[in-house]
Amino acid sequence: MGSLFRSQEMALCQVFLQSEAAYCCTAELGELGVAQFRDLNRDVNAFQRKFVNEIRRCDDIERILRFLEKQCQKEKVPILRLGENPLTPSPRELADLETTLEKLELEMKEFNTNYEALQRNNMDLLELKHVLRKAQTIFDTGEMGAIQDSASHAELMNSLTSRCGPVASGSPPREASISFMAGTILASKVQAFERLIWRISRGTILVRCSDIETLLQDPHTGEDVRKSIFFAFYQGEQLKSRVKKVCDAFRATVFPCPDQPQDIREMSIQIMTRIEDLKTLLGHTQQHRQQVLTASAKNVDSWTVKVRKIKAVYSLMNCFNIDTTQRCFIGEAWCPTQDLERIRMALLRGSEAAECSVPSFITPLKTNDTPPTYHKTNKFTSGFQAIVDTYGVATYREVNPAPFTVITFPFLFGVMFGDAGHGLVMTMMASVLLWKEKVISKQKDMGEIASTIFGGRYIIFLMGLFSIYTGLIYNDVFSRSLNIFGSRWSAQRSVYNLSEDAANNDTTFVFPTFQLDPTNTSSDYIYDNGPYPFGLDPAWQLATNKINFSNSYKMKMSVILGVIHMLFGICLSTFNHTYFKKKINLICEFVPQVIFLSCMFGYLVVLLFYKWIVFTADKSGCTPGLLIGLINMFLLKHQENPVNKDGTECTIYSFYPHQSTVETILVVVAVLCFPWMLFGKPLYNRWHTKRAHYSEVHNIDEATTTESSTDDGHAGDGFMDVMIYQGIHTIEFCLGVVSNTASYLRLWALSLAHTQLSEVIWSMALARGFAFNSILGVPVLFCIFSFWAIGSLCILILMEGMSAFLHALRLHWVEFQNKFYGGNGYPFEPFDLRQIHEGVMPEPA
Amino acid sequence: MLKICGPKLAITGIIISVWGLFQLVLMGVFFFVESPALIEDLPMEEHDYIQDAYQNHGIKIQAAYRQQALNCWVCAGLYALLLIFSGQQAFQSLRQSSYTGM
Repeated sequence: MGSLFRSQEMALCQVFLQSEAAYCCTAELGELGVAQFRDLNRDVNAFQRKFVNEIRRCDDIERILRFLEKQCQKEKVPILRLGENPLTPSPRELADLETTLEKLELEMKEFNTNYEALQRNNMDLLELKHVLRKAQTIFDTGEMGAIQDSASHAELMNSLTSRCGPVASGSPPREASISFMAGTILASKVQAFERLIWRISRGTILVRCSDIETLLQDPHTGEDVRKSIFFAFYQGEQLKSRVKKVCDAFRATVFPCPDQPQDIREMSIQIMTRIEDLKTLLGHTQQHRQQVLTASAKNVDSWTVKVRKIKAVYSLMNCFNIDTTQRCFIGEAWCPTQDLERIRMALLRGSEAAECSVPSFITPLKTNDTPPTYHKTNKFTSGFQAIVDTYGVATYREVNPAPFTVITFPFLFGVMFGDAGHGLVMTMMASVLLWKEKVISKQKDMGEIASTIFGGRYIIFLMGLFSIYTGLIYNDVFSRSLNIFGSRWSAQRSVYNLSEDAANNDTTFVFPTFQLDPTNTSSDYIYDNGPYPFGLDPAWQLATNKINFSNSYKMKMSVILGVIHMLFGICLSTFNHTYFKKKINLICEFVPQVIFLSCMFGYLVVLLFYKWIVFTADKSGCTPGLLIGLINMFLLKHQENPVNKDGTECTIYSFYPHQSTVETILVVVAVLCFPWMLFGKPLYNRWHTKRAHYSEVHNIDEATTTESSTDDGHAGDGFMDVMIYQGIHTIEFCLGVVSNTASYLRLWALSLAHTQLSEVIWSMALARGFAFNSILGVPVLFCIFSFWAIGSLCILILMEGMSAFLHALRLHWVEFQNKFYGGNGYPFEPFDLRQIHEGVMPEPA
Repeated sequence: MLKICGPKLAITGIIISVWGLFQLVLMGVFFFVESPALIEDLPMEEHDYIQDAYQNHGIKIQAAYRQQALNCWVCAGLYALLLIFSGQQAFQSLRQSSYTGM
């Protein structure tokens, strides 16, 4: 059973693994997750390590898996997320996985290329269909005949002869028939195409273009393109070749188009049937592809996890040293001494799984290196440990502030937040998170903010509970007070004659404020049954001087809590001093620190309680000012009390017998603590080294020499270093006593801010909902309540909550922990394969 | 039932309506019991208070308190309806998302 008070004891161990059993044993250790391995081959290149081939194979498999995932996403096939954690597979399974996945990849790639080819075919056929349709219209309307028989024919002939005449004098102009070329081209290129054909043919080629109305899909990119059909009418082979070249240049597709109407119709029918066939073929291919993808989607997640585990195991095995003479692997790992037995059992299991007769074993090593810091936490304490570790990981075997933080942190939060209503809302929300814990923790990729809030659900729950407690003490529920026990205040005596003023019917009459008198002589404060039992009396909510009273009370409470917290921190340092066997620190740091703090602010706390208890309302004119008194104490200024009118002493300066003597002694003791802290340790160290030198000279086998040199930490001239270090430390502590105590006043400040904000939101928002003295107020109240609730949630609970969280955290990190915490350790990061399930890849240290 | 709002809006609706139901019922009770903590929220003039308290035995004050209590309870009822509606919308979104396997 690990304890949270200190970090676990760690041991550096050497693990000897037989070569056949190495993989299985490492996998078992990974599943156990309690060993942090060191990289023994740090200076070896990544390509020269032993298992680089296996890792490359794993990378290939991962690439295929990523490709499959992308295909699944493209086709919107849902990928099943795994619930449980599959175990690390054996090396044989790796080979099986490889072959299966390579086959799948080939299949998918084949599918994709075939599908693309089919689609291209489809598109060509569609275009041809459009071309044929257009050709049909041209030939049906007899345009072709018109071209053949019209005067333009003669024009063509004339222009041909006029241009080609001088050149081709030998060849007479033939009565050649006009042929044509049909095809499709991108609509954007039509203009340029026509112009170029006009230029190259010098006007003898006739081009007719028309757009295809429907958009066609480009199979490669998947985008929609607009195409046009063109018909180019020409005469002669030369022009034909020119047209062909231009078509190639513009990447237009040319289709063989018959010029007889019956042929066109026959071709159209053929095309239609081919298109239908293609469509069914495409449908089948797509269906088959979906089936394959769905089948593989079921396993993709488990394959990914398995491959990552294999890769992690091989990466770790790369860190082992190989002892080729004995054919075994040697690894070095930090592990908790408590878990050595579990590791041995895991190694046994691994050896059995590999059917290896020679066992693998683990032996502890002796070392001077600092071990990593390992705290055994459960789901409740891990949140608090995380916020302590954020500031600094504890030094090895140092006192851990986390178990105390479990209570003090939510308590200080509650002091600053202090509203039972908001606390209740916070507790309810946190309890929903706790109730649905298992369901939410299975969800991956929640987003950073959501996962942070989910990780801190226990902290938020406790914060809410403590806020309810302090809210009941401040008697503040959404800025209204609850009268649970019956208020002790009542306005019995009428200062003014209110019934007379009422009879006046004066509509401008304003209620005067009068003071309720708590002294014995009045009947305004009834304490026959004792004072209000728990928390603030609800009558204070209606008082105009509520803030005056609560300021005084909360400031004093902040100082008291601060001094207690800091004293507790100093007392925790004794555990560190005794554990690390530094008795000198106990005498030269702990004792003077306690005395210094107690003489200054411990005395102030005692005076606070004294003033609260001794001074009643009768003496309210003659109460001492404690802060002024503290300042006068340090100025050693002791004044005489003035005398009242009725002869009694007015105790505003000296209020208990022998006060001046006591205060002088306290000041002297506190001032003496300063040189004690400053010079105590360096002088002791110097005396100790001198004695060690002396004994070394006279007695060479004295073993204390080694002890003193490590104790000092510095060489012989280290006295100045120790002095400087101690000087800084002492001044920091002494100044810190004043500044840290004042820093605790933020407990008052934030609590005041919260109360005032809450009051303003109520009076500005919710109070408007009660402005109608009829049933018409219902819809108004309905809308205003939602508005008030959302405003409260966002501003008061979220914003103020975060603010109070931050300040409570700062109080812990700085004011509390600088009294005892070192925080120089490094965290323990074990080789844990279970993390892969959450998507975290373990790296060996 | 058709889906009008998404899952996030539905869950916000649930939270606000549970809160509203709980708080408005309690506030109605506190108005009915004539708690002095809520006296500043009543829609009455200052002079009215004194006149009513000393001459009419506080009848108008009591009527004002009771009216606000009634308002609060009716509102609580409206929030209960909103809770049912939001809950049903949230349930719809949950069912739909589990069908598409997200």
